[in-house]
Amino acid sequence: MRINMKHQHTYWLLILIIFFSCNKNKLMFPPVNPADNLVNTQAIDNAVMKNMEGIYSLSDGSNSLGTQFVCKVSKTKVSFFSNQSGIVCILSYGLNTSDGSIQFAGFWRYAENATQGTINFSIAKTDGAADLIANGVASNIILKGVFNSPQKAISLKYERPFSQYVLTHEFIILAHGTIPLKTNSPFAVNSVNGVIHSEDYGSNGIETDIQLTKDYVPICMHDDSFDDRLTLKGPLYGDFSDFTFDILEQYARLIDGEKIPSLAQELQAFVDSTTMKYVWLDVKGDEDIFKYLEPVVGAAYAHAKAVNRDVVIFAGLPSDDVITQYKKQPSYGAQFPCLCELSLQDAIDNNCQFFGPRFTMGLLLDDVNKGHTLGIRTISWTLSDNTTILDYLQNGKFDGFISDNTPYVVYDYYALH
Amino acid sequence: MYLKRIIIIGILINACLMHAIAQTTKPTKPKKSKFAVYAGFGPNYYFNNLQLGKQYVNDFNYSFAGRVMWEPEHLLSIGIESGYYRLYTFNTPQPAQVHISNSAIPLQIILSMKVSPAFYVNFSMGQSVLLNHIHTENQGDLNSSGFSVADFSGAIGYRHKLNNRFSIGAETKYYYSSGFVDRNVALLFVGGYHF
Repeated sequence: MRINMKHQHTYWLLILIIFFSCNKNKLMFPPVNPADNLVNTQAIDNAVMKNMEGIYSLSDGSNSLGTQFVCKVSKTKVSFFSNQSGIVCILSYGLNTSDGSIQFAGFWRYAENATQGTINFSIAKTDGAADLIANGVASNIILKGVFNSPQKAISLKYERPFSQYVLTHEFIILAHGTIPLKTNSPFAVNSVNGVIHSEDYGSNGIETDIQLTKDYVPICMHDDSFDDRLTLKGPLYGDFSDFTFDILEQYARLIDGEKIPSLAQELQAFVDSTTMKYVWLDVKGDEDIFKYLEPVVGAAYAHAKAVNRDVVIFAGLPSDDVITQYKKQPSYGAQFPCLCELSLQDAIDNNCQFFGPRFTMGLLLDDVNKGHTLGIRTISWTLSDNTTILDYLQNGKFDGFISDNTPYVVYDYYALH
Repeated sequence: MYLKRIIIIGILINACLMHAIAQTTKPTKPKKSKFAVYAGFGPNYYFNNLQLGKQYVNDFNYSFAGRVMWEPEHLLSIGIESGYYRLYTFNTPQPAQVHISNSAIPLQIILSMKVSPAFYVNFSMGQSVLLNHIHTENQGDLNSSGFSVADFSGAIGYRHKLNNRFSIGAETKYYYSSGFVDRNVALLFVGGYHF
C-alpha cells in the first residue's frame, strides 16, 4: 500500500511537471545590434539596392554561416539566404558619404531554431559600392564583415545574377499567415508588422486569414475564437464574431502586442510598406463574407493603382460553403481573382485564376500542366520542410508555395534553378 | 468462594466468545450507501494574470458551488460538481466606460477524501463553460462564451454534522481553468443534506 501511495505521488508529480512545462510558441526578438556603422549614413534608394540581387559566395573568413548565398532586397532591407540550414541574414543599410562605402548592420539566424547573432558588412567604394551606386552594377561587389561575439570575419563575393529561368519564371512565395512561422520572427501571425517585414524573410506575397466581426468588418485572424496561441490574455473570451471591431481594437492584442488588424489595414500596409505582389485571402466562410470583402479589396486595388503598385489579391475558396458564399456575390468574382483549393475542375468551374492544392495531394503534374494551358497558376500549400520544398521545386511545376519556412524556398529556388 | 470463581471465569469466557462471534459474524443488515448534496457560497479572489488591462480588474468576486456525492462507508466518495464562479470584473474609467464580467460554469467529476471525521479534501476535474459579458455605453451589450476542456479544482474543508441529515461547514477551494489560464481561490460556506 505504501509503495502504491508512493507511485501515486510520483504519477501526480509527473503530471504536474508535464503540465507546467508545456510551452507555447514564442516570438524571438533579434539580438541587439548597436549598428554603429550606420550612424550618419545616408539612405540609399531601394531601386538602387535591388541591383545587388543575385548569387554570392563565401570568398574569405568563417564558413559557419554557409558558403553560398542568395541576395534579395526588400523595401527597406537586404537579406542573404544561405545554403546552410536555412540561415538568413537581414540587414539595414546606408551610404557612408565620407568614404563612399555602403554599410550594413543586422542579424543572422537559423530558420528553425533560436541560434542567432549580430552581423555587419561593408562594401568599400573600390569593392563595388561606387559601381552599384553610380551604375547599378553588382558584379564587382565584395562584402567584408564580421559576425558574432567574439567576432569572426566573413567576406562574400558576387558570383552571378539569377538564372534566365528564374528571371523569366516568377515564383510565388507566400508567407503563411503573413509571416513565416518557422523563422520565429518577432511578429505575430496575421499582423500588420508581419506584413511589413515578411518580405525580409524572403516572401513576395502573403497568405492571410479572414473572418468577420459582429459589425461585419473583415479582420485578419486564423482561429474563430480567442486563443493564447494568437492573442495576449485580455478581458475578452469567445468568438471574434461576437465582438465589434471597435471593442477588439480596444481590448484585444496579438501576442506581439499589436492590435488585431482589419483586412483594410493589412492591405494598406502591404501596398504602402512592401514591394510584394500577391495576397491570398484565406476566407473562413462567414455568411455574406464576399459582400463585405468586395469594398475592402476594391479600395486596396484602387490605392495600389494610385501609388503605381502592381498587386494581385485573390480570395481563397477552400470549401463548398465558401464557394456558395462566393456565388452569392457575383460582382466580386467579376472584378477580382480567386483561388480554388478543392480541385482544378472546381477552379475552372468558378473561373478562378489560381488552383491551390494541399501539398499532401502530391505533385499533380497533369493538373498543373492542364492549368497552365488554361492560364491557371497552381500554388501548393503549406510547405515548411526543406526536403519537401526541394523535392517539389525540382520535380514539380508549381507556380508558387505557401510556406512557413520561406528562407529554404528562396535559397532552393533562386540558387538551384 | 470456589463457585464464585467458576462463575466469574465462566462469564469471562462467555464474554470472550461473544466478542469473537461479534467480530466474525457479518451484520445482518449492512448499511446502505449514502448520498448527499452540498451547496456553498462565498467570496473569491482572482489571481490576476491579464496581460492587457490588468489595472482595470476587480479581483474580489463570488462563487456558488454545488455537488451531489455518493458517500459509501469508505474514506473516499465520488460525485459531480457544478457552480457559478464570477472570475473577475473589468471596468474602464470614463469617458468610454466599459464593464466586462467573466464567469465560469464548471461541470466536473469530484473525488472527496476524509482525512479525519471532520476534515476532508476534494479534487475535481472536468470542463467549464466560460461566459464573457460586456456592457458598453455606446455599443450596448455584447455576450460571448468559450469552452475550457481541462480544468480542475482542489479544496480543503471542515464539516460539522448537525444531525443525521444536515451538516454545515466551510472550505477553501482553488479553481484552475486551462482555457484562458484563469485561477481563483474561494472561501465557501457549505451546507449539506444527506439522504
